[in-house]
Amino acid sequence: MRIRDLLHISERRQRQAARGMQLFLAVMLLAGLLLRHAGVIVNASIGLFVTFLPGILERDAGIPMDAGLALWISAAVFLHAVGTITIPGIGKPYANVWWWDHVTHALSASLVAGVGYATTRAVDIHSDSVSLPPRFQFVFILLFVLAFGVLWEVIEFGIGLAAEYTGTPGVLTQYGLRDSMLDLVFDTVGAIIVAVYGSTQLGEVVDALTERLAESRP
Amino acid sequence: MSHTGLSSVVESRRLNAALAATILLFLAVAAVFQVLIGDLEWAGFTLAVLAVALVPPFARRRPTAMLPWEVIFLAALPIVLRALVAGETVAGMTLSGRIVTYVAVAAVALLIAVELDVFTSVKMSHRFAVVFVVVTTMAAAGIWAVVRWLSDIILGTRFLYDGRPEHVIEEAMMWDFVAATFAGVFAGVLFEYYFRRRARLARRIPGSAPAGYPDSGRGESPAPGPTGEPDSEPASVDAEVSDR
Repeated sequence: MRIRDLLHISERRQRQAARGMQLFLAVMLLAGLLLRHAGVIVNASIGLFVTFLPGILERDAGIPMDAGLALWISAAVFLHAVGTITIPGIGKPYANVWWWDHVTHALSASLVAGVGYATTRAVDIHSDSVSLPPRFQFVFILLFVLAFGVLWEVIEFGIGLAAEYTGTPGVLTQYGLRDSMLDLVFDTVGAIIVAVYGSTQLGEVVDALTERLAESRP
Repeated sequence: MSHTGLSSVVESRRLNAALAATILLFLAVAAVFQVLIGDLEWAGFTLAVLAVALVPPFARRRPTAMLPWEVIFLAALPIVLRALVAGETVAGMTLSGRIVTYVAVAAVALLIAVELDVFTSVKMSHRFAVVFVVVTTMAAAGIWAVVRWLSDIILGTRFLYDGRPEHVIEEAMMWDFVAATFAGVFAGVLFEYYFRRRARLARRIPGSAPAGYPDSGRGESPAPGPTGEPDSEPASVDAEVSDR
């Protein structure tokens, strides 16, 4: 099952959607620069950079990125960036829309899981001394995503400490214990989705990565 | 590769087994005491270290088939410190206590990596084993936090919500995560160095060779071909020893 079969939308529409999200992030970056708002600038520019990654990977690294993958990546950073800005009538989606944080975390965790899956699968195929059966692969993806989730919390915590120390408003916000724990739970949900469906979605990426490995270490 | 006098001594299977058995005996006694004084979280960790360390001798039905005693010692270190050093038993651990704890978790992860490599169809290069250790150590901190939290809100236990204000609980947990991150990376660097100095951890488990684990030599072997076709060879190497 691929994303496009699930969503029933054409590749053209998917590219348009990804492009629209990219445009939104560019506008958000401009607004942040005009308003001199550090948090908006950082979140928008990192998001904007990530939306260009599929194109860069495809052109420079030769890793095939179909429209579905590009949309997947763009949607994750788009949801995150929108979540941090104040929308009239709603407020910050992260704080005021109950599912926003969960969906964003599951989505971005699925990206991390995708990177983890594609890399370990390529190493598994390429390397003689590494053999990772599917059941181990499944567990390892979950561990990989949880480790990344912990790293994310550490980064948020570190930024919070730094902001407290310098007296500037934070770029990322921690909303409490329950929130941190639910983040990790929904990270796991995203990881499970990729661990189950990753092989069909990422087959071409895995093949390309395996070839790259073979070229770099003949 | 220079072998120091000490390393050639501990290459001896019998001495390694004796040293490891001493540590495991201590852990068994410690587990009983931990249960008696109601320190169930630590009793669980102690029993987990014991269980992981006892897999090879039971699987091989040979008491000398023991994992490296120095890695078992690293896994047992926080338990030893808590038992012997007063002050470490206080619930509010210092950062050094946290670091020692998560280095121990990393050591358990390494033991599991070796066992997966020897006893299952999973094969790891030493580099992948290092990545596995770092990832598993950090993930363990997350899983441990979520499990305690879920247990508190669903079963009404008091692992986290023990009367402290919530921001104190959260900050303590964040320091746990920081410690797990640093300890994971530290252990990864340590093990990388350890593998280079004296690899072949699994040599002490009879029947785990011929290649041993982790083998730096295997990494340099020529790749199967430019297309990188899947390898069928490692499965056959220890076909006779993979008892799942």
